[in-house]
Amino acid sequence: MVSGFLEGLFNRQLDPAWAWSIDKVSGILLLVVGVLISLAFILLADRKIWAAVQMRKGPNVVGPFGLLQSFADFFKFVFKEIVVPAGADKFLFLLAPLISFILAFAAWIVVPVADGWAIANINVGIMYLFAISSLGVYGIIIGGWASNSKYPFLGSLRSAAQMVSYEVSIGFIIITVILLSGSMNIGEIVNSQKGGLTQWHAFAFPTIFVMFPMFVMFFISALAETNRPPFDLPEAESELVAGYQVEYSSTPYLLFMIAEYTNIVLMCALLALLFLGGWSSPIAGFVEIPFLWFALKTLAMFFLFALVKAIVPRYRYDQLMRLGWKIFLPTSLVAVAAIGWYATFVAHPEIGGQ
Amino acid sequence: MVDSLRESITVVAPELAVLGGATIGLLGGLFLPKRMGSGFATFAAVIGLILGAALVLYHFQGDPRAEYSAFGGAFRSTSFIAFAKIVAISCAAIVLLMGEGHRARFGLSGFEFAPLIGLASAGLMVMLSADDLIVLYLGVEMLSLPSYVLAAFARDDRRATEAGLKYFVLGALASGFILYGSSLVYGFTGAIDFAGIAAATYSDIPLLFGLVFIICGLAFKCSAAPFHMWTPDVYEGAPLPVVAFFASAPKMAAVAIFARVLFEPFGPAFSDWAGVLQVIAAISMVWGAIGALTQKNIKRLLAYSSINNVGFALMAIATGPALGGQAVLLYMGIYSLTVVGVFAGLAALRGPDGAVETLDGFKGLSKSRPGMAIAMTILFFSIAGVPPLLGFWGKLYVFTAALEAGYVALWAIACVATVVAAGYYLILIARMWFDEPVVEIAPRGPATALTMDLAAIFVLVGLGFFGIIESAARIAAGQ
Amino acid sequence: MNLTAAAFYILGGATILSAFFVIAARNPVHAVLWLIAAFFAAAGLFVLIGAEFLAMLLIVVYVGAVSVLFLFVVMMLDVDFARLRQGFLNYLPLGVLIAGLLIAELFLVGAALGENGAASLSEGKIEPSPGAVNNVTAIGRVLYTDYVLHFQLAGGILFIAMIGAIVLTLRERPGVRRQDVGRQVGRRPRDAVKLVDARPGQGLQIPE
Repeated sequence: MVSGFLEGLFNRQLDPAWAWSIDKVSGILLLVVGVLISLAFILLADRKIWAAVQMRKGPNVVGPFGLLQSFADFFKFVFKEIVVPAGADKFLFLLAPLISFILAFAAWIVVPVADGWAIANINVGIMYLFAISSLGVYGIIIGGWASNSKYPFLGSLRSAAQMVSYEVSIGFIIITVILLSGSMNIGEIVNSQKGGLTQWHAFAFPTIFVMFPMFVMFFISALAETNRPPFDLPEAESELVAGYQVEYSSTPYLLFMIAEYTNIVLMCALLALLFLGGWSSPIAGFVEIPFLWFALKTLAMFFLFALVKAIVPRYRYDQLMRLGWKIFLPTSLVAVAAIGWYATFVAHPEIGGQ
Repeated sequence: MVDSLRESITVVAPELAVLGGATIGLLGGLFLPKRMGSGFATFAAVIGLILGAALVLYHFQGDPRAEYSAFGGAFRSTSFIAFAKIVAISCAAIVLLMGEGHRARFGLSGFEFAPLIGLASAGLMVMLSADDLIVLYLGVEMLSLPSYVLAAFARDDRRATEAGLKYFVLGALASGFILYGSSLVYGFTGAIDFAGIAAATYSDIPLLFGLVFIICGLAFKCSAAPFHMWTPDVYEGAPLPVVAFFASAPKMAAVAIFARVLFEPFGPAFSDWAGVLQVIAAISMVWGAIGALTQKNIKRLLAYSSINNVGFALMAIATGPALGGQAVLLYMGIYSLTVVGVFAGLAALRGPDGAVETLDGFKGLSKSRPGMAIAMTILFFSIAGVPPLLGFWGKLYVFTAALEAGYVALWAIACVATVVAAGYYLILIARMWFDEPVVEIAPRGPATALTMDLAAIFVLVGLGFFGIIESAARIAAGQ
Repeated sequence: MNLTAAAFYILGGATILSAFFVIAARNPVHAVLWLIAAFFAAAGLFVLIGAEFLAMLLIVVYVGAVSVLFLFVVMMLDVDFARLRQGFLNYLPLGVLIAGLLIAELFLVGAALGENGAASLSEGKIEPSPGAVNNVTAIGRVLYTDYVLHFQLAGGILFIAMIGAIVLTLRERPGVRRQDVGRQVGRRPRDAVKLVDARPGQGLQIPE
């Protein structure tokens, strides 16, 4: 794209390696800026929804309807002083928010925001996403440890246990989707759901009886994986002050915040891609604007995230673990077996029927 | 793949039966009411073991020289393997039966005891049947993991926990040896299946590195001498029924797979490994005999005795498949069954404060429990190799094989070791018959006494059975 | 030197360097972090030979799960590495000897491969995506056909390890009150709450 434009501008052919690099770098820049700007408004939406549930107005001072609130917050954080605690492991203390931030954005490179609009269209895209999201825990655990303080450490340990637990069920749920689509490439997973709402993995008949519950479980696991309420135990304000973030201020804190929200939006995007047909229209042939549908579905999922934050009380730690290991893990295992059976004997009888 | 999945599964049916029995026992123990669960778990595991043995026999009922290969040459069943499997499974079943009813005395009240033994037995069957290096390693691990847990099963007992940890750390090291050796062998030959390794053309020196690592690992697993250091500690710390298992079934299996690994994939390299094995055998025999002399604890003594006995078995392996194949099966088969009897006897003795473990506890046994003393005497004589008892014939075959192979020096060492070892068995027997009781022993023992008496009778009238075992071992060794 | 070779040397160097720092780091937490770096570089090497599925597995399993638990344990334990290292110099000669042996063996393997044509391994056989299928499909096809026994046995070993861990650690303490969600949810106000009119000045007689 950009390389073509440049070639036209200077009227000479570029070396293919250079052209490739320029295209990718500009694509990455576009993606990062796009995600960051939409994040600013998504954050505001989160606060507005929260306020609406509690019959408040929410932020409404900066800009019309408070639209620029996030930018104001951003500058406030950036201009503050970075405080590093005396006993902290300075290098790791500053590395932790960077890890969180980089990983959060690294995941986005395989997310196709519309047909073919992914920076890297790799064969094992969904595995890559799963791998990167499972690394998110490092930012938190390192941050908590490097602060050299009790509350952050407790918070980070809690969070490590929580994220590792819910990754297991997320992994199994992803496997059900892979079994139905027959591919780990996200583009192909979306393409396997073409043809309107009745073909989406969450609603397709007859797998709806298994996959809709899986959709709900993925949603709940995503809440836990991103430390969102009602599973925000790592930063539970009432018990741990703010968990691993206690000692952070200024830009490092900002990086943590942005990473958290990027991950949340990523999870919403994943829900849309895996279960809601990604960029395809709910009625085949109706307003086929891929990016529009992808954005709408992601935002719809985010609306649910925001609502859950506003209306569900926080879980107790043992309840959280019980839900993850005793309910989600066995259920998702059974689902993998059921979908495996369906995929082998019903959907692809050429494999199963000897 | 040449053979279909269905045929392959019929070949692994014995393993599946054992595994199934253990798993059903585990489920029963979990979901049945507590009182029933434990008994059910043992029952299911024993049924699985018996079924497994029956299936092994069934495979070879028509043609004892039949050979089965499954899963594209990863798994193999021959009569050699079948013999070792049946001996090992029987030992495991006897251990389960003798422990039942009074396991709590040894800190083994959990229902998982029997299923773990069942799982370990399945593991040793897989290990015995391995026909490539990966299955060999998986089998070794499948046997080792339950063994570590079993050693530490009485987790409130400090010594048992220590034994479990020691066994785990050293066992993991041995597994690492096997794995590293296997990867070297694969690197040199480009094959992981036994036939491929045997067929590969290789230069001797580099391959020897891999082979030596595998030998070290396997020697570790069957507690041969330079790698024996875990044995006395684990035997001393682990609960008695668990030690009875360790001393019999896995030992039989480890020695048999040792023989198979050397005979089959490394058969062409006989001249390379025979020397290594002779050294290991000599050290084991001598060290086992000398180390036992100073022991005060009967379990430690039996540990050294087992090191000594493994030395004899390895001497048979060192003579090569033609001479030693039958001897090693015969020797280890007889030793395993006898040693189970000895441990059944130990389990049946009950002193004022728990199990009798010191040698002094045996003083004057002939007065308090004459029947027990007679049975014990017979069993110890058999292990020592006193003619006409069963143990003598095993030793005879091994010694003959060594002479025929021309290992005169090794043969002489073995003779000396036998005499020294016989010494401490005799001291023990003398204490039973000629000393006054020091420790008061409960007059009536649990049902294990019966097991032991049966074992003693078996060993005593062994001449009758010997014909059967001998011909079985001969057929099994392919002669 | 082309780009692939450059990437290989960078990633390989990073792997070795990180591995070195795993043992050289003074702080155990730093050692684990170096270990993670080594895993990452190794995953990069996998990607380089076209085994992207293995690379992802390495990251998911080792970095995402195993190392987190390592880190967990290392952070909780107060390991005094200085004391652990006291005998370091005494054992150094033996350690160097063993390390030298292992390295010599590796070179021997390489030499043997080069010499007597066991190089049948290298060309053709190491093909991440045999035929046209991608390597996920290729691994799946082999894993569930030729190596089904190995695969199932490995599963069995994990099962046994799980049982073992439960046997050794699960303790049933008497007198523990467990949460029964069903009962909690099924409880109705009329089972627990009683409305009583309390007269002023008289108080209430609580039954029982």
